[in-house]
Amino acid sequence: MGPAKSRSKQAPLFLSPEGNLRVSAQRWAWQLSSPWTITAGSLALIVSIPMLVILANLFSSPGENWEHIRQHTLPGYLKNTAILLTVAGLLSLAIGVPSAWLVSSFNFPGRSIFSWALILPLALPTYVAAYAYGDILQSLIPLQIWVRSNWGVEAFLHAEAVMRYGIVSLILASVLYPYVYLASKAAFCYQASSSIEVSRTLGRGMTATFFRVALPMARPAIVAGLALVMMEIINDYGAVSFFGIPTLTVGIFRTWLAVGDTGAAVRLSAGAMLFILILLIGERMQRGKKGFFASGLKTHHTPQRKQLGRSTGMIAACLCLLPVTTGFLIPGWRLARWTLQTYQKTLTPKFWQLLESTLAIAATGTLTVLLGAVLLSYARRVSTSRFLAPLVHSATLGYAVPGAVIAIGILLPLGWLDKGPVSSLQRLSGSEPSLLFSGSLVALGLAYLVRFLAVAYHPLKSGMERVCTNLDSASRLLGRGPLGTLLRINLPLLRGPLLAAAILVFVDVLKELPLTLVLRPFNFETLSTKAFSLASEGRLAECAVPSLLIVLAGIIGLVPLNRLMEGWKTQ
Amino acid sequence: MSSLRIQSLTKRFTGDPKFPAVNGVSLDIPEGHAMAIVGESGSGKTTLLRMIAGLEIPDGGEIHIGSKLASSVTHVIAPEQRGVGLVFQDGALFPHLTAAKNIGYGLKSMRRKQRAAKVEEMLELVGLSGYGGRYPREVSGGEAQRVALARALAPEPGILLLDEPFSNLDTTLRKQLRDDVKLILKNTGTTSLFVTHDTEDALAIADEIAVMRKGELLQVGEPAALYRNPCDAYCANLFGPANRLPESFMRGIASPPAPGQMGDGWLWTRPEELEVLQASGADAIQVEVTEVRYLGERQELKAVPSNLEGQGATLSSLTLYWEGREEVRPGQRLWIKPRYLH
Repeated sequence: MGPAKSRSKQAPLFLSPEGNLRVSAQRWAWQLSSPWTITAGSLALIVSIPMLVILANLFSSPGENWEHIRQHTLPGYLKNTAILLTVAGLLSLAIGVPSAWLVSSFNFPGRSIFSWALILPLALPTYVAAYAYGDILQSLIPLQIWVRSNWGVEAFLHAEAVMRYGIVSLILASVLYPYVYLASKAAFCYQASSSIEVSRTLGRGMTATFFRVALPMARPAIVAGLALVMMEIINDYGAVSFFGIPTLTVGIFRTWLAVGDTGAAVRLSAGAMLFILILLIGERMQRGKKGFFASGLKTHHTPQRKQLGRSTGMIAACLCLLPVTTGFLIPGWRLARWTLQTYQKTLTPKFWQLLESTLAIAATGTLTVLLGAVLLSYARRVSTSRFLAPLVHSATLGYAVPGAVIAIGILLPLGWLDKGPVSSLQRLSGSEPSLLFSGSLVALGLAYLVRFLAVAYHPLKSGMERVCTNLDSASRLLGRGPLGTLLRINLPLLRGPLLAAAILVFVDVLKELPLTLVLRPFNFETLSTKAFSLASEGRLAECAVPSLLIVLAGIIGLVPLNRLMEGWKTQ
Repeated sequence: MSSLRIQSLTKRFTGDPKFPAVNGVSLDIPEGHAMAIVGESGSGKTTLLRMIAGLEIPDGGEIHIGSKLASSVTHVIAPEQRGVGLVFQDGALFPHLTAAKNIGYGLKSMRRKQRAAKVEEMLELVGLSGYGGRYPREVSGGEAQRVALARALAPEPGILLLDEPFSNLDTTLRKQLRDDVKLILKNTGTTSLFVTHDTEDALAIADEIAVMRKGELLQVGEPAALYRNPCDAYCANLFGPANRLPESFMRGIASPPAPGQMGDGWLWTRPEELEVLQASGADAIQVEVTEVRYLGERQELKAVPSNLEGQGATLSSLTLYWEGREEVRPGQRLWIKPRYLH
């Protein structure tokens, strides 16, 4: 942080109005000239580019296919997306909220185990869950045949569609409901705990307390969890494409890669962005006044849980066991069984190579994302600039944007670079023109940065907020600059949040599918793309090995996630 | 060591642009002097301190540290380049570093051996020899403040700033640490500026005291001058009980009216400057006792003047010290006269 260029050593003490204007202009220049502001601002800008590119293209003239797409395929994409959002969303609520209420308000056999076991399904990416249940439609064929023989072809087609949509919705909900579960459990246990106790002392039973106090108070948290579920549903490519349900995301890939109409794909992406923006704004608006969350006291305690009788306790335990079974035990068991059948065939030297490249890309991605997140969160701490906050905010919106959209948003500008400046440079230097950025690891790294920056940024930021600013001030006054202070004071004190952020990002990169699928260099395979390609070829048993490894990594990732959610409760 | 000169320093926070947190404050601290700024919370004293340290950027005015311009409207030196030490209210010790590493933190230009020697010297100075290996969580509050003082003094700053350094400590510890700090500051010849809401701390430590209220300096002077000749009711009551009495009654008091005294016919008087008599005498006025508080070596009385001929204005309740052995009861009538009037 260098001093501003001083106009004169002896500045006048009282300034005329235009003098003040000049001073404020200099102040602005000073604010902007801080290297932290500049670096963090540029990073935030780069990360925002994909989203800006997509939104900007919303206003460009549509391609020739657009009219056709708009009339014929778009309504289908929208309808499919809406159906999945509605059905899987409602199912997630139906599983997540009651299980959270049971676990946080009652004592029954296995309660403390269910309290964390109900999160386990989150370790399964949606596509892995889909592959684990991949043969389920075939097992329903007898039923479909029975429908056709009794009610005819039309009824058969209807029944087939209902079954397909229902099963995909069930699969999505059974691995995504933990978002709702975690959010509502946090609300029941902490934010609303005093009010729940008050309601009970006023003579209300548990049921009345749930509907009249707990549920209304937890609503903002529940909706926030639901929003995460919906973002994941919009983002999903592996599961819906496997079961042949063309959602908006599938539509984007189809239009872009199969039809080759980038303009139309960008328009579809902009539509998906609009979906997400509405979701985000809606979520933000329903939160209402902040005071709604925490009722006064900062100190919270776990409420006294009501003891259930033997039979009701068993019912409660069964209700909690059901989602754990469908979301984790059954798919995990099937994957494990398939792995045992196929591991000899799968664990070839080639597979170890695949594992190595997966770990390498996950580690590189994690390092990139962490560096970016540290830079942004620390710049927010030291920079006095007013411009930085909104930039950082937009840079961390990437977690909400579907991978398909980010992929286009990155490949478009990189393509321009490759066609324009890079190829001219290559021609100048006499080398063969080739694509430098597109389909390179640079593109993939950038994509991970866009998508997962928020995952690392938020824990780091809240961790940094817990470090008293006096420590920074003390370090500065003892002669260390901002960088020295970051390295010697802030980072050592942030070891916990850094580790948590690293694990979360590592696991997220490891199981990421759509971005990796599109942006990876030619012939570059990771566990997730391998699982995808094996599953697309119908080799479900073989795709169990990479899938199971992803699930194991996912379980490790749940540890910091759970811990962060604990911290989130108190906020 | 350096001197500190502040001219017309002003700071407005965006939340409250109409009332500046610090409003045109000018101060001069000669080299080696200790100054205390006294004020209640929200008076702007901490903001002033943070501006001197470079942690806040002033909106107007200048700060000179020694011969160096540290801050003006167009020129701001980063905190790490100012040569200013700061002891925080909570110590702000780095929790992941030992006491020795905390103290050595600012000695980055020194070689390892030299640094270790300096750290040892500082630990000895603050009376904590042998504490070098302890972590902040392993020392008491008073010890933590000693380490914080050693850490701030180690790089030999031009100015040492102290932000309510004793306010988290209990009374006994506070008095002891206060005396030690005064001695250390004197022995090292440190120019220091010390912010507190506690006048006892200020009177004990400072060569000069500045009273701050609502962002402005009300009065600057030596402790005795502030105590004897407060410029207004606020300053008067800050340092202990004070009585507002007509100048005509008090005339002939030890010194001629100082410039700080009110020129409207009223004077501020400390209870010990009034003699309490059981019988009427020349120049004495009658008061009626309303409250009696037993303080050990003396009794503190609240009393209302019975009648004060020729003074149109009514008098508020007076605080008096009664050192006689006879018991005084509420309702009793006594007489007062200026102690030094003979």
